This record gives sequence, C-alpha cells and structure tokens, in this order.
Amino acid sequence: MNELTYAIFLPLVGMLAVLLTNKEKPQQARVVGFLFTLVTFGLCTLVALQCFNAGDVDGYHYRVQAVWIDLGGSFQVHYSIGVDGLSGMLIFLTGLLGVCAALASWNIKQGTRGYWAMFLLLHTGVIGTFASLDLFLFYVFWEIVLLPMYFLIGVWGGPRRRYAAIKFFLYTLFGSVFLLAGILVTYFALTATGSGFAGNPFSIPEITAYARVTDNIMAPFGESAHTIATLVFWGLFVAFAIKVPVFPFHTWLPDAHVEAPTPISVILAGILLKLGAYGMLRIGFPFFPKILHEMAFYLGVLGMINIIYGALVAMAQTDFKRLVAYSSVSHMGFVILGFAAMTPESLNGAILMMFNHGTISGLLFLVVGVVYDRAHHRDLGRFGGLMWNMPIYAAISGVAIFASLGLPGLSGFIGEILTLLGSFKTTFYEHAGLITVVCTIGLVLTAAYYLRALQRVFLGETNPECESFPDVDTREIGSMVPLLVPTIVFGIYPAPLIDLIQGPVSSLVLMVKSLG
Amino acid sequence: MTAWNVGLALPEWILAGAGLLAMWLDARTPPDKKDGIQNVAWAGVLLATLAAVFQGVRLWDPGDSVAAGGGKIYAFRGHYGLDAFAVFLKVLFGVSTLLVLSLARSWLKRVDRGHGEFVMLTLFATLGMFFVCSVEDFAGLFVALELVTVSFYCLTAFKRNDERAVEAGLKYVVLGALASSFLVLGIAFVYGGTGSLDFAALRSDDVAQDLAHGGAPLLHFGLLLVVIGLGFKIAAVPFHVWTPDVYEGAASPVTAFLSVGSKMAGITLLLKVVRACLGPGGDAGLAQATPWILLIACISAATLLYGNLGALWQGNIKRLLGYSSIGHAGYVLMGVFAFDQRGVAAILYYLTAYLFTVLGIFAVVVVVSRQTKSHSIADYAGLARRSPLLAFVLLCGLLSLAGVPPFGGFFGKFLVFQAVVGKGTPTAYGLALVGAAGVVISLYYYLVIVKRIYMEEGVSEEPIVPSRGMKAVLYTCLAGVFILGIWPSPFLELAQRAASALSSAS
Repeated sequence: MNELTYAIFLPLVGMLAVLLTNKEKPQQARVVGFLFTLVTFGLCTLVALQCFNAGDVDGYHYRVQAVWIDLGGSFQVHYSIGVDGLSGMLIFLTGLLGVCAALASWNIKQGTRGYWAMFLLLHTGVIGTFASLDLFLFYVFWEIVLLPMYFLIGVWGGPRRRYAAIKFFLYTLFGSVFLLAGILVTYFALTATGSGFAGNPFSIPEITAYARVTDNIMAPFGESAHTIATLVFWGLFVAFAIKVPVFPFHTWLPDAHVEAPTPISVILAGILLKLGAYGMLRIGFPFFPKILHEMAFYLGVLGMINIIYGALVAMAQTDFKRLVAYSSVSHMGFVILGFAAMTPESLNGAILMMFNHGTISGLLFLVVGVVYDRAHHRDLGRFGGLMWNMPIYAAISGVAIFASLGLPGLSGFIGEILTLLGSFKTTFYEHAGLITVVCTIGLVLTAAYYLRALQRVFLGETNPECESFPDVDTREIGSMVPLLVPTIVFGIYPAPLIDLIQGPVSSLVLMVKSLG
Repeated sequence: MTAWNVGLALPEWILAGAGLLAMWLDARTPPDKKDGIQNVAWAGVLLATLAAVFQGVRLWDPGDSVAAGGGKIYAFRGHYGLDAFAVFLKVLFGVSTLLVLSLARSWLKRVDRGHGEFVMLTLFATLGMFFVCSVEDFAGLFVALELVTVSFYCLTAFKRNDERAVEAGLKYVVLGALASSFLVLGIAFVYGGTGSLDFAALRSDDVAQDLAHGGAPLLHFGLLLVVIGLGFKIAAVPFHVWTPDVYEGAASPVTAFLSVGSKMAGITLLLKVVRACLGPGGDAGLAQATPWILLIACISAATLLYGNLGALWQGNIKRLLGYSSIGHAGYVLMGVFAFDQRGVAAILYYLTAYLFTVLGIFAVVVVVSRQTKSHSIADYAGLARRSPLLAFVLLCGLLSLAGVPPFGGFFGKFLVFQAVVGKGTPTAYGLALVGAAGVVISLYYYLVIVKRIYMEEGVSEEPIVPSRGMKAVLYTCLAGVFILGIWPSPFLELAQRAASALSSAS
C-alpha cells in the first residue's frame, strides 16, 4: 500500500461516499465529489514529483506486487503497479484535468449524485490503467474506463448522446478484443516450451526486458513466429489506435466529443486519448521492437494522414466543438508521427505533445463550454465580437487557441517542433523526410482554421445575439487557470517535463538503437 | 464397483423425499395455505445441496483414501459415480434451484392453483439434474435426462390458460421428443459398437483406436446422434429452434430455470460423454479425430453467431435472453472444443458466473413484468428512475453476460478463450476470432437495453418495489456476479479440481 494505490482507489471510495449523500441536496454530492477529486489530485502530484528522483531497481516508483488471481502454474495475475516518468506525468495530468473538469461540472443539475459517482469511477479506471504493470490488470482497468464514460456521455450529453455513447463503447470494446487476444497469444508464446522466458508472462517490465534481449518473443511458434508477431503487433496497435484515435478508427471521436458534456469532453480529449498513446509506448512497441522497425513507415504515414486529414476536416466545421474535436485528431497525428521516428527528439516531442495537448485541448473544450452555456449553440457563424463584452474570456481563449496552433512561447509549439525535427532526421524508416515535410503543411492548415475561428467568434462587431453575455465568472476562471498556467509555463520552460520523461525516452531509444 | 453403497446418493434421496412430501402435502392442505409446501421444497433443496457439499469436503481432502484412489466413489454397482466434478455441478444445480424457488415465490402468489405441482415438478427436475452429474452409463443418462426434460415439459405449459405457454409447452414436447428419440437411437448404436452401455466401455483402448482412426462407423454414427440429442438440450445450432418460443411462452421463473438448470444438465452430460470418448488418458480417441474436432468447432461457431445475431432484432426481453442463451451455449462449446483440463475448468467457471448472472436478470424480469404486465424491452425505458436497484442488477447482469470486467462473466469468457487459444491450431484461432466477434455483437444488444433503462424516459415514473424475498435474490446474484469477477481464485481452484477429477476419471 502506498500513495499510488491510494490515488487509484481513493476515487472509488469517493464514489461510494457520493452515493451516500442526500439525494435531495445535490450540493452535497458536488462538494464531496470535488473534495475527493482535489485530494486525488494531491496524491497524483505527489506521485509525479517522486518520478523526478532516480527510479528503483527496475526504474519504477511506488512498486507494489501482490498475487491477485492464482490459477496455478505460470498463470498468476498480480496486482502489480508502479510509475515511471511517463505514467507519472500522465497521472499528474489526470489529477489536474480532474480538478478542472470537476469545477466545470458544477452546473450539472440532473442526477447529480450519479454524475459524480461516475466521474470518480472514471478516475479510478484511468489512474489504474496508467499505473498497471501487469497486462491483465491493465486490461481490467482499461475496460473499467468504458463504463463510466458510456454513462457520462449517454446520460448527461447532448441531443445525440445515446448514439454517441454506444458508438464510443462499441468502438473501444472492438479494440479491447484485440488487446485481450494479444495478451493471450503473448502469454502462450512466453510459456510455450522453447521460450527462453522464465519470468511472469503478464509482467510488463519483465516482458519488455525479455523482448530486448531476444529476437522475437513469439519464437516458440516456429516458422510462423514472425507472422504471428506482426499480427499481434497490429492487433495491439488497433486496440490502442482506436483510443488515440488514428485514422480510420477516429469516427467515434467527433460524435463522443460533441455530445459529451463540457467537463467530460475535457477528460475525453485530455486523458482518454492519451491512454491509447500510452498503451503503444508501454506495451505495443516495447514487446515488438523489430516489428516496430519494419512497420514504422506505415505508422509515419498514418500519423501524416491524421495530421492533414484532421486539419482539413476541422477547416470545414461550423460547430465550434466539432472543430476542436477534429483538431485533436490532427494533433494526435503528431504524436503518432513522433512515435514512428523513434529518435530522442521525436519521442520527447511526442510525449510533450501528449501532455500539452491534454492541457490545451482541455482548455479549449472549457472555452467552448463557456460560450455554449451562454448561447446554447456552438455555431461559429452566430458569434462575433465577443472580445468586447467578454474581455477576460477572449484573452484566455486567445492563449488556448494560439497554444494549440503552435505559437512559440506557448506549450503547443515545443512538442510540435521537436516531433518534426526528430522525425525529419530519423533513419528509423525510409522517406521520413518526405513524410515530415508533408506534415508541416498541417501546421499551416491548423493556423488557418484556428485563426478563422478566432476571427469569427471574437473579432469584429459584437453580434446582437451575444451582447447580453456576461464575462466568465470566478468558478469558470478557476476551472481554466489550472490549465492556463502549464500552457504558459511549459511553453517558456519545458525543462521539468523533459526531465521527467527522460528515463522512459532513453530506454525506448536504447531499445531501437541496434535496429538502425 | 460391485457394492450397492446406497447411502452415497444421499442428496438424491433427500430430493426425492422432498418431492414426494410436497406431493403428499399438496393433497392435504387447503388451497390458501400452500406456502408451507414451498418451505418444504426450499428446505429439501438446501439439505440436498449441503449434503453434496459435505460429500465434496470428503472428496477434496487429499489425505482421504478416496481422493487418493482416483477420486471417484461408486454406488449402485457402478452405475452411479461421485467425484469432485459431480459434486461441483450438484452444488451449482442446488444453488440455482434455491434461487429459482425464491424467485418463483412472489410469482406463485399470483397463480391461483397448482402451487404443489409447481414445487414438486421443480424438485423432480432438480433430482434429475443431480442424477445427471452422477450417471455412469447411457441408460442412466437417458433416464436422468428424461426426468429433467419431462418435468420441464409440464413446467413450460404450467400456465395452462395462457395460449403462449401452451404453445410453448407443445413445441417443447414435440421437438424434445424428437431429440430424445435421436438420443435413444444413438445409444442403441453405441451399444452395438461397444457391447456395453457403460461410459467406461468407450474408454477402452481398442474403442479409442476406432474413434481416433474412423473405424467402427456405426459407433461414430451413434455418437453423432447422441451429440444431436444433447445439442437440443443445450440449444446448440442447428438444434435450437425451440428456444426463443419456449423462453418467451413459459413463465419467467420457469424460463430462468430452463436457461440455467436444463442447459447445465445438457452440458454436464456432453462433458461426460465427450470425456468417455477421449480414451483412457484423455488424449486418444476423439481427441485425435479431426472431423469430430472440426464438427464441434463448427457447431460452436454457428451457435455463437446465430444466437448473437438473432438477438439483435428482438423486442421482447425473454426472446432476447433466449437468443443470448443460444449464444452462450456457443461459448461453452468453445470450451468443449478445447477439451482439456483447462477447457473444462473454464466451462465450469463460466457456468457458475452464468448462473448468478442469468438468475439476477430473470429476477429483474419477474419483478418488472409483474408491475408493467409486459416483457417488451421498450417498457424497460426509465427503469433506473423507477427502481435503481433493479436497473443496477440488470446493468451488471447484462455486462457480465457480455463479458466486461470486473464482472463474473468476464472471467468465464476469458478462461474459455484462453483454453481455446492455448490449443494453438488454426481452427482454434479461427474459433476464437468468431467468439470475439460474438462478444462485440452481443455487447450492442445488451447496451441497447442499458440505454433504455438509464437514458430514456419511461411512460411511467411509478416506482417498482421488489419484495423482500426478491431483494434477497437480487442481492445474492449481484454479490455472485461481483465476487466471481473480482476475486475468482477460490472458485477457480474448485473448478480446476473438478475438471481434473473429470479428466482423470477411470
């Protein structure tokens, strides 16, 4: 038992506490829910800070390992958790966005208790997924995330919420099936006779270490080992790519984002998308470095498609929230591009991008939420001149939009530039330079759709419809500031983040070093 | 093997006694005081289950002479055998009957006549199920199975003024009789092939040779017929046609019993027969006969797909559960396909989780339909507001059926898939793929129900309050679904012991 375990299960306790509050007094549920989110954030911060120190023996902090399910023989599932810089950073992000989303949840009026219960359960699922070092445990937490998300979208969402909720659930579960299949095949390969693996076939660190010293962890399958490894690699990739989302598995995202209530969009874009990218870095790639090397070109192409396609579709949107949703597709493309290149720069860039996209897109969804609360629509054509009657709001929105389009000095820039630099010079796959050059077009497109949106919403004459809108209140500012601060601070001084992920990045780089 | 050892069948004696007592009491009590009969039945089943548990404790003790000697005790001159496998299933049957009886209690209050018959038939069906676990030859198999089935014929048509129930009963009788005749004919051929009705005769070395290499065509034909007869009981495609209609027509507690008890009885027998065909060590005979392995894989895949696809378009919850139960038979058959110790343990675990899940769902159906007088899924809209408890049990039950962690059904499915993928053959991978597709399809129609109960407004806001007894059933099932999902180790260990008893059976 340590802080990490508390961070995972405290929200679960909070969920029960929320359910015990008085049904007639929704304020109770809000306060209890918020307090638990806040304490969870504190624990997450503590966990993340610990990751600045040198790791324990295997590079993980807060290591806990206890037998959970014992089927005899090699089939032992452990409650095995621990964090390194990568997961520590993402757990911190979860806590941070949790607090902001909690503040933004104050105006949820219907079924308040249920909402906060699901909100807290979501925390348990997400933090648990980031902390799991056992494949089976990872899968269980991964699935636990689905259920609260399904309800949060389906019950408290917009007009087409039911469709969006089912679509979200089915897409992700479709991916989960591949994940489970991948876990099982890996298990059988590692326990088969002829495998040199002697450790626990569910332990992520042990398999990672083994994959580094052996040619192919599927070796016991004999002649078909390579084919099976390739299939499992792509199966895992699909499982994670659906969450990221990578084209062509992205179509659930615009629906889910648009229909979800504002705080849930924040968590969806800020954290859930990172689950997919995290899964690739933690499981998909380290288990099959050689296959990654062979397939890196295709990953690069997928990243490129995401960037360009996402940006082009975002350009065509008239709905503010849909625009932000497609911009997420485009930005996550940079993450995939950075992963494909596997250089220190590109990995640093991609992981920074994960964090910064979390804060920036969270902020953007809050921005959209503010205007939606006032106007009850998100049609870009029906705003205008908001900067005159909502100056504070316009200022915050401006920072968010410029950060997202990659203005130097704000946090979006550093991730993009590092990714592109690393990707351009990589020798990890052929034609990387060409692909990277095409991707830079995405930057221009991003600037185009964001500046157009900025113009249509904030500049010009104030639209008569919008004249009566009050500026943001204290609670709204309170929910945005925690995201605004890292956007600016890490834009000017990203060193702490780079320090934090140094360990995981260098071990990934080391993994592919011998492969060219 | 030659001893009578009649005391060994204690659970069965208790059940038979309780059944006869219920009959006798029914004749002697006035119509408005029939509640006592239900108590007698409940106590009888409880006692029988406890007796089975005590027998199990003895079998489980590694220091015991029986456990040391192969783990099997015989009675009735070898026609009745008791091992860990039998005990495990008997306890499952006992628990499901207890839950069904509790579930039927509030329903029976609205039935004006026939309480005694209902209870008695349930007890005799349970007696049949207990025997099913212990039969050691084909004659016993047939008698035990018919005891179960005939009781169910009557139970299905129990609401004799209800057209649908009568129709369902008739369909069940006609198709059931057909299946039974296949079974009997199959048994005759098997007898012709081996010269004995004992399962043990199938296990002998030369028969195993025949089975493995396609010798003795009539024996193969006989086994095929036996599989068809049993396939009917577990509603495997293409012997499933009766399922949706019977599920819809029968009273909900009967449907619940049918989908758990009757199905498990069929599976138990299938496991016993298949085990007998695998030769002395469990790796000869059919285990080497490719056509048979392919046949089981095909039936399994067809059952999975048919059940799950058929459920997509159902508007009646009982029909939907009927189709979904076909789908679940497919998953169990995946375990049969994998038939090794791991596969059998997976099936046993699957059935344990399935029992609690399905009975929980049917408890909700009974309570809801009592108030809404409808089984239409549309009438479940807004259930979450009318009764959070019912909605939650239904939610957990449906997700457990779909196989989402952290519910019990997930582990069942996981173990089955693990066993199948562990085979490592292309057929196994293909079957696992079909199974995975089935999971995704099934999730859709389960989620549609979840959507209705949580996200839609119902026509009525009137609260639905389950009775105290029903609450007990609901909480028990809920606890079962959660415990089996979060802390599976102890149950898994029991299932593994039971599976190893079956595979080492000599």
